[in-house]
Amino acid sequence: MLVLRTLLFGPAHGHGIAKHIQRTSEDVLQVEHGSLYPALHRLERQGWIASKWELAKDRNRELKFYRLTAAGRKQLVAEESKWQEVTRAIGLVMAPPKES
Amino acid sequence: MRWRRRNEDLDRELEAHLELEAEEREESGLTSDEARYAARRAFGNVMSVKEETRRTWGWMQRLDSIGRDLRFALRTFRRGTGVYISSIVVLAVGIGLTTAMFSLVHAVFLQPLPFPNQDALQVIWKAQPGNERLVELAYPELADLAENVEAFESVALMPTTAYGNCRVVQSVGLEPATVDTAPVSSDFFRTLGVRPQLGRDFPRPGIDPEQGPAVILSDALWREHFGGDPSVVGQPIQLDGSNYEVIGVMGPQIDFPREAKLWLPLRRSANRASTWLQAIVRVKPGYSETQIRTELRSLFQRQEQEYPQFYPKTQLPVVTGLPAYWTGSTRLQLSLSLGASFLLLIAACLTAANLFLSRALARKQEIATRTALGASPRQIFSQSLGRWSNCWSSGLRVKFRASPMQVSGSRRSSLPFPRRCLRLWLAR
Repeated sequence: MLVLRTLLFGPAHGHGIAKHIQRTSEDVLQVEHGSLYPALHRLERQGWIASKWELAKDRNRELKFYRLTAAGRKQLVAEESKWQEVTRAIGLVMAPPKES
Repeated sequence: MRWRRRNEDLDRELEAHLELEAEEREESGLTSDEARYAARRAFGNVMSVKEETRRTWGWMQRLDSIGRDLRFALRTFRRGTGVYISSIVVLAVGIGLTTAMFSLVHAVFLQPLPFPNQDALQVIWKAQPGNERLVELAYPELADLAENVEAFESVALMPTTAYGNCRVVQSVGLEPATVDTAPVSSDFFRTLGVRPQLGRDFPRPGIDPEQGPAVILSDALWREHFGGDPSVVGQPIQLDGSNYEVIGVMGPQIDFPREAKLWLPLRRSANRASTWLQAIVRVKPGYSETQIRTELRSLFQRQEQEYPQFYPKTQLPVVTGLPAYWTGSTRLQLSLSLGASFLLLIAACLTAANLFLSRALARKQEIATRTALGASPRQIFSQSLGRWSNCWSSGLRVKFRASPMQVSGSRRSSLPFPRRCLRLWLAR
């Protein structure tokens, strides 16, 4: 879900996605970079992202860029709503006891 | 191959990631070596990441990784050959014996004869009560059976064996040969439900036009003696000096009675005392064995009344289905032998497994190293499996180089299907 969300802002390569997640979560989510790649390939296989080798302008080398597909966009929305549900449920359980 | 390109692609992608990470760390002050090292550490185990990623590509890739494991196992074959050779021998013996037994059983039971609807074919004999001996039939009983028994669709007479019925075959331009022959009644092949592959069948008396003495060759005789020449149909031929004409060639695998190389018409006779034949009949659908026996009993009673000089005592009909007749009483023995050879195969497998187990225990250190480098238990297992199936396939190949067992019934039956598939796949 995080990967899909990251790609919502535009295409990125594997390293970029890892860095983005790390930065945006304020270093809380420090994912092992290696585990990112099986996830990326799995998402690609399911058709939610698509990949292409392109020249990265700032680094002056060819990198494999991933971008979100239309199906991926839909999937992101679905997963996000599921996530909201789960968070809300947990919140209800963990809520401070009501003042009597 | 597409997957090879995929692999290269993946390598490139991961390499690029590591370089980027290393560059970043360099920028923050580390030396290039330290940066590389740190990048790798942040990444995790590169090999297992690659494996993990490849697994997401799907089933075909997994199959190919199994293939890679097998080839690796082949390469490490050299070390510790003792265990491998002994387990190959053990497995070869087990597999070989079981396969030979199974081919025998297959040829004898499962596909005894190439006649359609064999369950409707019955072999008729007579027996005297209290006397174990079976009594054969005489030629005039052909008409008795054909005309008086409702249950029979068609009736034919044949000798009980081709042995003792040999004749010298002479033909223009060919060496004389002595072959076993079978004199049969005109409806023989029609009863069996087969037709000649070349030429025509014996003429039906009263229906087909009369012709001179005719002979039908077996496929084996046609190919061996006459060289498979189709123009043999219509040629004259001598059997023990008497002239005949070849009117047809029977299809391959028709070997009934056993070893009969050609069929000629049974000489008509009214002699009821000359009993040397058995009847083969095709039963109409819907008739049970009891009905057949009842009808035969009443026919025999009529015979006893009309010809008391030939049929003095009470005659009992002996009706045997053709498949059972062909395989005889060997069913039980063959099944037991097959069971025993399966047990032997299991024992062979267990022995081989034991050998491998002892070897694996000796390799504990190697496995520990592999695990430390990141191999999952599944990978180690599949590598061992690769070794084991190499032995299995070598065992199979050894079996085939050994001389093949001659299966009586003169039919080489094919290998059971699953083994053939396994062999082809492992050999690729």
